[in-house]
Amino acid sequence: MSLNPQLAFELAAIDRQIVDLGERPPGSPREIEGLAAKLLDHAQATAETGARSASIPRLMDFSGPAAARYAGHAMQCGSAAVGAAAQLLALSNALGDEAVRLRNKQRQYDADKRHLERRRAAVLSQMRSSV
Amino acid sequence: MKPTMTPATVEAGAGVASALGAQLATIGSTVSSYSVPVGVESVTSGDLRAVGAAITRAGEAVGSQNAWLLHRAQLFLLADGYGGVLFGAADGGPPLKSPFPPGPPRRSFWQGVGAGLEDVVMGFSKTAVVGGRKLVPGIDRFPKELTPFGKTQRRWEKEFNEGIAAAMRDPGAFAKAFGRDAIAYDEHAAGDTDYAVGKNVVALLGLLVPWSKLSKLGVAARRGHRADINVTVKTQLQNTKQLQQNLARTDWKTAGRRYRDARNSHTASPEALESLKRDFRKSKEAWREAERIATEAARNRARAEAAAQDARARVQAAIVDVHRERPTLMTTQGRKDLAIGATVGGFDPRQGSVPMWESFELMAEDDQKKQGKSR
Repeated sequence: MSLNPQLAFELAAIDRQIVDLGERPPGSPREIEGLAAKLLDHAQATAETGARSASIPRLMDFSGPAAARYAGHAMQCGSAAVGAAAQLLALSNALGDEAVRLRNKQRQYDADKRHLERRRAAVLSQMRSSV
Repeated sequence: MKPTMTPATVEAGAGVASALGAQLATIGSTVSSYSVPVGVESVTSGDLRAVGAAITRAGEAVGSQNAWLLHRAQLFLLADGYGGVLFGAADGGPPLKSPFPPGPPRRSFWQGVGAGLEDVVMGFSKTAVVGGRKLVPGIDRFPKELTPFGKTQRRWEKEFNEGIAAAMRDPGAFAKAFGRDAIAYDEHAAGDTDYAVGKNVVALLGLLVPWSKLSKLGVAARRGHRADINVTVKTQLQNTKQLQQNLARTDWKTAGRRYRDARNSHTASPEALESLKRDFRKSKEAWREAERIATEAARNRARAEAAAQDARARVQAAIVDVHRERPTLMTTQGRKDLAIGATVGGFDPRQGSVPMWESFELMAEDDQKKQGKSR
């Protein structure tokens, strides 16, 4: 009984590639997408609340310097909230992109690994039949 | 001091402010409590916490309006008149919190508010756009309820007319100044909140005048300006052509005199006589041509003048339009029938992302509809 040296060499190379492939990229794209969706909801709610805050002076029946000061403050609050909503929206978008990136990476890893394992199985069966 | 601020509206406003503040603060704390999932590279937990803190701060600022208003109402320091300003800082009441992180203190409070108010007055006189009676023939009296606090009607009319004249002279600069004033961007960016508070009153003006109407006015004003320039050019052209026509006529007369003199003296050769006669006829043709050109120039000038008249009428129509479309924040008319729910609910961001200015326009349209119904 003798071992085919070429097949043994190929098997070693495949094993080496599997080791090089390393760990599967960690994380769950679905979880990231969930957070992105939550942030999107919050961004919408914040924008809505900000716009309402900016419209508060319209509810009141007064005019004059103090009223103007109050209205200016309401405007500031509204614009600050809308600005924060825009930031949230940007974060949500970034998370969505991250989810896509991670999913692609994991798919690539899975495909590579599957391919190497199939090749390894093929080489092993060849070795078995050649014995 | 005119006690127009009724407890009902104070309570309504305070209630809404308090509810919205609580809502924002809840969202802020929820957002900052999230942790970034494993596997994300670009977003850090610090980003989330920063946005959450910003929302929370905005919520606290909105909520502080509640206490501020109620305190004022309890002290009978109604939000109208000088009392509001004089006792605004000195009455020991709860402060109006700023939604922005504190910046470096560059002015004292009174300096800041003073500068802001000064700017407001300048803003009123420079950037206000509502038809004044001198520019708009259709309005024979400036509406009294549109006169801002602390100004006589006459003074306000004068400033408005000056403002409109300035806007028509240089629409680009006008739009720039108006935009800068309206958002007080520099002040907010520098964290100079006191000054910005004063300056934000000008933003109220921005609320009052729909931007589309303003831009229509700007376009009309620019066209009117161009039409005026055209009239000037065409007038100068006509003068030149008239001069050329007069010169050609003088040439013709001189040539005629020369020909007649030569013919009457009986000394000139027939060839010279023929040449003079040709000159005489040619100069007459030149004069006729010059006359035709001058007539054409006069017609062009009349046309340009008619166009300028038309453009002026369009500017006035645009001013009237801006005036008509003005929502009723600072007027008494139609203010009573603004129901809280309808006003607040008039804006739904889930219909699509609506920028803030556009949302104000939408609310203004709602007001218009409501007024139409109540009349």
